[in-house]
Amino acid sequence: MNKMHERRFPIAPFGTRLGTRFEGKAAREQLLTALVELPQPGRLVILLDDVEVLSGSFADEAVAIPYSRLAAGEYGDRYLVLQAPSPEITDDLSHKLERRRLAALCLTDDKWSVLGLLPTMMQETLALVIERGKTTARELAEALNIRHNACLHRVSRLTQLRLIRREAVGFVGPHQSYRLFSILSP
Amino acid sequence: MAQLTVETVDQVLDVLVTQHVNELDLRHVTFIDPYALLLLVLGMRHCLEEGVRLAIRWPQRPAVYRWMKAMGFFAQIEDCTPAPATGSRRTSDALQPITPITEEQEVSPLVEAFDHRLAERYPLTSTSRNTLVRIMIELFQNIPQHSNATGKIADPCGLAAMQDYADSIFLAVADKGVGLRGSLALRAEFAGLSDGRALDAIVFEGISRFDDPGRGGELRRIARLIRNWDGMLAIRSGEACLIADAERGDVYDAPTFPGVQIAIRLPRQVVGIDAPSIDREAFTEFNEQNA
Repeated sequence: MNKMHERRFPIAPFGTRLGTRFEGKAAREQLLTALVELPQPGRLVILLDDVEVLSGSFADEAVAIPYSRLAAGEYGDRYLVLQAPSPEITDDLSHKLERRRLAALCLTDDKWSVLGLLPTMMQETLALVIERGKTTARELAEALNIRHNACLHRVSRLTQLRLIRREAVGFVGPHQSYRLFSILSP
Repeated sequence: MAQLTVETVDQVLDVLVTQHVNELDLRHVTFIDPYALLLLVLGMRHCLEEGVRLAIRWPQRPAVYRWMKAMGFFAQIEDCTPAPATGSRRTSDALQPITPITEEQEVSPLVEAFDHRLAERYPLTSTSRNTLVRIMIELFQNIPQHSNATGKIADPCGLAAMQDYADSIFLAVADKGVGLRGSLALRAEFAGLSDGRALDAIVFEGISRFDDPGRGGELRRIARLIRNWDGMLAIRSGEACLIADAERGDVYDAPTFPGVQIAIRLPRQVVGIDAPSIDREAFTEFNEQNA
């Protein structure tokens, strides 16, 4: 696996109580610039330390919209991860991600959780990828005791949401074969 | 009526806007809440725009008059009607005077100012302060974001005010812009809704005038939060008014009036205030007796 590059993007410089859509748009422009400048594969960690209020409006403009564009495949082999001092601060952001049918990985005290909308079975699959660091759909299917085909659907959705990373490793018959990686791994 | 509140102020609006009177008798009013105060301002401004110069008989009770003055009421209506002569220098327990909201860039500093006023008077917990800040950010920014969504309103006249009582904190936010129905009508699929249906769609279904899933849902979250907090929420728009508390949530017919007017009453305990820092009722009574 290629080394995952990491940059950090603190939100606190925009204010501790955030805020309006107007303010969120300004933060989004800088966040997307930082994302584009990140070498691939790369992970941009959005730091919410010292933020006291993250309103739904600000969160939608500054964070949920970039996630939406990331899921649409605009930023190549790049990923976003949130780091929050407490789960409460991300309540409104989670609601906005849910409305957009998106999900995000959030780190709090070195434990990860999912914000937004991700069904339990997908969370199980994601947890296994994170636990193993790297794996394959076949290995996941065996561990989860589900059919390989079903596992491919889960993995495909997790990849599209940019919650896991995959690298093509060749072909099995007519089908492309992938190795899967946690986006939290070094 | 003796008290102008969420429940009664529509009677005044009916007189002003529907019956087109040019006299208003407030002499016997003994109490006005911030929501009713903002609707009085907007109602009087509406009359001015309609070419009616109102003659008003002001409340006789000094405490009511003083509070109106301290809340900046007379400054807001000085071009609508002559303000009463004033001789009193006594203080009032006004918390946050009427504040205009026009530009989105102003919203965060205004919210900070409201929060600061409240924090000066009470030692709020950080959780409750931050929750109130979230509510204010969303409600205040709705004015620049939506009240003139059609671009055809000369002045939507966005206002906010806040007052504390023995049992609650009361926040009011109001404008006389396009209203919820006018805002939703910008989406073809929601054109032709009644005011009541538009209120329902925005507050309970989280729909907004933007065809974007990230937009909308804020009033629904605020309504749920206030319900969980045992508070009261009133949202008035056009000819519909929703009044919701922990036990009920009904939409009532109201006299037609432009814009959106919102009242939030939160029990003091839930915002971290167990007891008043001073006894406000005793304070008022003391001032009355020593006048």
